[in-house]
Amino acid sequence: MGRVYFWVSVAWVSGVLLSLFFGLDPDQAGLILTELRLPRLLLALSVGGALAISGLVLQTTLGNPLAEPYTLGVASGAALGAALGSSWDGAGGALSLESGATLGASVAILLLLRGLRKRSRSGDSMILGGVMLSLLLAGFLSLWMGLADPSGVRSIQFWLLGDLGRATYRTAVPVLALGLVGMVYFISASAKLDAFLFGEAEVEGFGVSLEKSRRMFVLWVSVLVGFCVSSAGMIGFVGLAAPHVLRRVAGTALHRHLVPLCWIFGGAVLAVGDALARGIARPKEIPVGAVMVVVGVPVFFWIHARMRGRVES
Amino acid sequence: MRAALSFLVLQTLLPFSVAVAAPSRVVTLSPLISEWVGEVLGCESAVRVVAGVSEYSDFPECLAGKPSVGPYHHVSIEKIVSLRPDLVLASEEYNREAIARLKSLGIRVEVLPKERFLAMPAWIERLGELLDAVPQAKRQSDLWSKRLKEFAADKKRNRTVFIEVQHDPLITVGGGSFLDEAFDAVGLQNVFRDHREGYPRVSRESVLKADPEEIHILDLRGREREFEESRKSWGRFPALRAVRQSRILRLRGEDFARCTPRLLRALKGLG
Repeated sequence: MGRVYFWVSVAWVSGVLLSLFFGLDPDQAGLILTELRLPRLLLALSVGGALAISGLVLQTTLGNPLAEPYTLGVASGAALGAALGSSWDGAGGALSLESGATLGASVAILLLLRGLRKRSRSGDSMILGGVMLSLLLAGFLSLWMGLADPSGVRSIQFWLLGDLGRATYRTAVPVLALGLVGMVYFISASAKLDAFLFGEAEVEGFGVSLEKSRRMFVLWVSVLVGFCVSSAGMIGFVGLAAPHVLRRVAGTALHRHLVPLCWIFGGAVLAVGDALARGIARPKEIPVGAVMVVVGVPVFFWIHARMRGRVES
Repeated sequence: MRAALSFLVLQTLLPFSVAVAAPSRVVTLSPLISEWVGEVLGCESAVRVVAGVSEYSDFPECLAGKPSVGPYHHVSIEKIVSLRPDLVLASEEYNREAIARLKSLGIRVEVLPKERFLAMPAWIERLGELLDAVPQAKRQSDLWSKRLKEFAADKKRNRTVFIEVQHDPLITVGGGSFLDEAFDAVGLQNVFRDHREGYPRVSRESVLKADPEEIHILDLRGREREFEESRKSWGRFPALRAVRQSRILRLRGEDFARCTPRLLRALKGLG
């Protein structure tokens, strides 16, 4: 396990260095590093880490390998809120894109918690409920896009595909703090998470309350995802793929290892993705969400094939 | 006596206290602003003063080779900072995020209001003040005002027009845009001027209902084939007056995309 921690840390350091120095213009480098790249790096590490942990926890507690941070509809709520917020912002109102996203995520979390009140909710039915909520909110978002001024739609399209360019210390530090607290919480709850690996029917046999634990985990994940989407838009792939890669690479299902590894690795992956998004077509920026998918999916299959080959041999 | 002395001191000091040195490293955040900087300063000065421009700043050509800071709706803050500007000229309409960010980094950002065809003289004069080029800007604004008066004098009967900005989805020009005002100035009434958004998406049904006398297709990309396809597509509706009277016209993107002297010249041929 020490080797896995070592290589994941190497990936993290590489991500940090790449994010700070890739394509750095020597003119005004000090100002660019301290005021633009450092907060952006902090946000990338925090959001990537939080999304990876969220994906891991949802895949475990819902017993579904396809579960990811956006499965439960919180991100769609944030996206709809951001769209409405940007409209009101443009009209000189009190809402902004970020505050609208936070409000939208909060409303989605409340709807989700209301759904969770009913006992005997299986993981599958929760996923179904989350997907339906996502669809409903995405439908409202499409409605807004159809009715809004096209120039307003364009301004939010970039954000919807993931945008770390808005990062400041004020936006990055709360996500970092919340992500670290979340990681500590999930490490402390790792025994409960491990119990979920034996299936819903067996969880209570380990002295773990299925309903109570799951509700708590889902609430934590929703808050984390809400913060992530509000500050960086919709960034896919990392929340779904990072836990799968680490399970294979680390060869363990124990959450006391997977949770910190996910946090480190998820942050590293997003930091690299953001460096590429920012650097490959300078001064144009490509949405980081698009880079994550286009680069990440082939890399994921490559790792998957390599690990399978190793197991077979 | 004391008051007179104070007045004298103020008179002596005031010019020094308000004088701002002419900017020597200007970055423009929209193609419209780049073009007007070129118009006001003239190419020779503009090339010396402008340090960077937003993408698509293709006119005047002397500024086309300047470092790009990215597309106007998503400029690169890093690139702007690295150019060490002493003045960033931003658009109120398109650069809201960048304005806040650049100001927080201690960079001087001056925001120009949304361009309005009838209010351009004031817009140009404001730009002149910011560039410390008031006389040159005044010449341009006077020219604009003169053209407006000429248009008003020559204005004939209002013909109704539909202005197509994009064919799929169908996007037109709303009442809040400079093109709406420009067309109105030469006696062409935009059928969708009641829409207060700049560029609303509309249905073909609503165009049929409005039944404009003319359809003007804005050819932003300069592609003859796309214009022809668009024209043919309207030909499917012979009930439209514009189709019956063969009044489907092409607006060259380079003339009509921005509120600049090129638009003034092109409008003369429309009225």
